[in-house]
Amino acid sequence: MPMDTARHTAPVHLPDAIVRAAIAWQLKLDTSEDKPLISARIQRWCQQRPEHALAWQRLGGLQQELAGFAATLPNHNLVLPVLQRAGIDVQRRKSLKLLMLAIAVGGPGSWLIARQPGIAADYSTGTGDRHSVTLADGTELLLNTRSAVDVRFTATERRLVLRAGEVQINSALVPEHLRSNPLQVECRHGQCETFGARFVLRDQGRYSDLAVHSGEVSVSSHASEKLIARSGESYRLQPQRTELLSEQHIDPTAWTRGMLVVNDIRLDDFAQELARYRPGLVGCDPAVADLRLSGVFQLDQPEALLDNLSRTLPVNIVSRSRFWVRIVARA
Amino acid sequence: MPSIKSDSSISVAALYSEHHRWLFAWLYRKLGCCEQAADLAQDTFVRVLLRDQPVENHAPKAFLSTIARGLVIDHWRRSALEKAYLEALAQLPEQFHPCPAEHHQTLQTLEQIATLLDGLKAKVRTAFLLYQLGGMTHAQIAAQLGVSPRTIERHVADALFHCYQLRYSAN
Repeated sequence: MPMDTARHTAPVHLPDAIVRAAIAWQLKLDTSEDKPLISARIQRWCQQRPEHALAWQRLGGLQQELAGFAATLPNHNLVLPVLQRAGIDVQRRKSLKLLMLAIAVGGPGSWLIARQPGIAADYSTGTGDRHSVTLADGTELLLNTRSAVDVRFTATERRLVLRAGEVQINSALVPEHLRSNPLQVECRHGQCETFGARFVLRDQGRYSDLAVHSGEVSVSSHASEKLIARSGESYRLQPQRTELLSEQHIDPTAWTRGMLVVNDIRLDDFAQELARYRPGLVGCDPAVADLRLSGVFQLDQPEALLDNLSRTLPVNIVSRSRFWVRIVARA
Repeated sequence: MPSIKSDSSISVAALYSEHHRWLFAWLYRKLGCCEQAADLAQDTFVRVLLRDQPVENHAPKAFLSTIARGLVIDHWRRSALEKAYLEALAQLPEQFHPCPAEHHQTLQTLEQIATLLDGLKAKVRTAFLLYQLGGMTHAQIAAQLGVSPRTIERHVADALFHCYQLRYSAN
């Protein structure tokens, strides 16, 4: 939580009235039909006094933190009642009784999620970033958005750990007579080994995907025997099995060229993919989740990409705040 | 208390030998479980060590029980969340159950949210959760909770103010 640092450096105290005013602006912006107008007014308000600007900036940080929480939660319909039921109102009740609040939450649709690493790794990237690294043995790593990789090289072992997100690994071919020390890459669902290959490994939470661009990678998952993934092949490592992927809706290596290439992908899956590259959440209404989409998009402009959706599909983009966007059926 | 130094601060070792048994008994009364009481007693002293500040000697019991009370609350919150989460998961088909890492992460996030919203009135918290996580509008929440949209807006503003203070106030 980046905001915590503010607590250690004796943060500037702002009058309650200013904080309240910033909150009122935020809510006005969230609910307004005319966001450009409200944004302009907020900007004027921020320019009036530095305290206004600071309050607005802090509120933005808070919103981002909340959106981050929302983004790490896998299923909002599931966890909302959990939070409501299990809330302990300690200060108010001065006791440890549980507040049992059984409120059935209507289906607000599936919120699309992308996990954030949030952990100190050797190499990591923020939202929308790509980062390339060359390791001591010449292996090249390219980290995609919100990714984290640890490098564990010793005298006898070359080991990488994908802790979050997605990485392309390009390791030089080791001649056969010199092969003793393969490059090993661990992920949440298994392990890959190679003596020379270019491949992409992606942690998707419930499973991990391996796509081999060139060379050969030997894969063993926690559930299955070792198998060889060859150039052009993609495998999904799941807790129970490892399966060869025949048809993929997202080109697994296009991101390494800054592109998002999709083929006949469901709109909700597309929104989920897009959400990885921008801060906040991208929600997709169930009514339009089944719509299909194909195309080639620039990853560096996720906002423009989102706006374009409403031109190609019968949908509208509703943004409720700076970090909340929802795709709904066109009215 | 003869074994304690007479000056105003006290070493953690002395604090431990003097108060561990008492603290354990206090925790056991709260928790009703030997193992958890032992864990939390240990955690309490770890917290004291991590503070890296001299411990004032005038009210060591109050000092320790304040830390321990905080840990008990955290413990209760965590178990309540875990229990409620497992119950909710039980409603889902097996194939939608998260893997252990994801499960752990979810519980951690739930705990962070619960900590952030601690102390808010139930209605305020519910309105805020539906707004922030449920993605519902003020009007939708108002209809569900049977109050006016104006009230929901006030609740959401109060909750944001509460979170702001927690993050950015000096104390």
